[in-house]
Amino acid sequence: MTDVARDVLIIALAFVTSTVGSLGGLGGAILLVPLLTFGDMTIAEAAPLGLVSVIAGSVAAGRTQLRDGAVNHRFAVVTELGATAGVIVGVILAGSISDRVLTYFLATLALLAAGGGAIRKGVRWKPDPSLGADSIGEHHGSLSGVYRLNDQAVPYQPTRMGLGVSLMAIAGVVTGLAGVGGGFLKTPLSSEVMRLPAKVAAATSTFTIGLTASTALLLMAIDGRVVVSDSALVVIGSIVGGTLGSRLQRYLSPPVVRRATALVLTVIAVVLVVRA
Amino acid sequence: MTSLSSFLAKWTTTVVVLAALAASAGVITSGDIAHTLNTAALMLLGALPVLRVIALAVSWARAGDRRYAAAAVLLVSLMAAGVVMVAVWR
Repeated sequence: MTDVARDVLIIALAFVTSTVGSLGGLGGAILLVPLLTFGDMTIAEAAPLGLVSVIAGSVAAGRTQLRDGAVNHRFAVVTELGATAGVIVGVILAGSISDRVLTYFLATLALLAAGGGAIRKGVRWKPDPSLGADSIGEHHGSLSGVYRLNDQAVPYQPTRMGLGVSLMAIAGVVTGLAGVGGGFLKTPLSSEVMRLPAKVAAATSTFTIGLTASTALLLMAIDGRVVVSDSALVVIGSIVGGTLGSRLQRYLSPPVVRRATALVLTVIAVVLVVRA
Repeated sequence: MTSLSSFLAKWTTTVVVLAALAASAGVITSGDIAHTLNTAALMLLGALPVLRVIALAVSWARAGDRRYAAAAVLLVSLMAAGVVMVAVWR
């Protein structure tokens, strides 16, 4: 493969995985890293590029999601406290569990999350005709908010936060152990355990995985593992992909987002098992 | 859209455009210039999510939402402590 063809392939892979990742709030590194290793890269070389993809996709998607009022920042900060603490523990424990066991564990979690999203029918939170466009956003001093759904305003109130933050901490440990972004765990936990609307869960997870990935990328940069020339290619593909995915998300109904997320999670589980 | 979301969206757009331009210029140039441009793109994107949490903490503190402002400050502190701990531990 020529250098130009290799560069174009990296941009294309980053574009596709970031589009899918920002659509469902899953990130995309968990798809991009295995795909890059099918070529001439090792996992150690591909992992930093996966993190760059998550950050660029997250930031690019953030523009549209902020304008739509889809991100609940208070929810993000509270749940990320648990997840970050878990990531630190996971990174310190990394190496204590075999890669094979960890991979099968991740695949099982991805399948459970896919099942949870696919089984549920209908829309949990209903539009409130008394609310106008000016009510879209999150509420002062609370985790509740209102999001936009087909020009209607839909109020929501997350529940079971204690359980959710505890599970986020466990998800953080898993992501710290495995070196993945964790969006494929955070989004289902937010929507199915803490009952955030699917679109808000996807947008909020897209923000939080960018935060986690920034920290992890800094650690890899300290280790000298970041190849900036390849990273620039991923930045270009992921910015375009993240923007497209967040715009597509605007036009899809919550059940469609849930089913699409479930499908991608199933693909992730298969990819993980094949890699193992 | 709230003024905070509007502010964050504008800054995010600016950073995304600058990072995309730097990365694109870095791909078509070579040598030290390319390295500098690519590094700048990565630093811009990597810093933005953390700066966003800091902006949220300031905004919430100004609005009197002390509980969530404190949570945001705690999160940034935890991330910084985590980076130091892991860097030292390694």
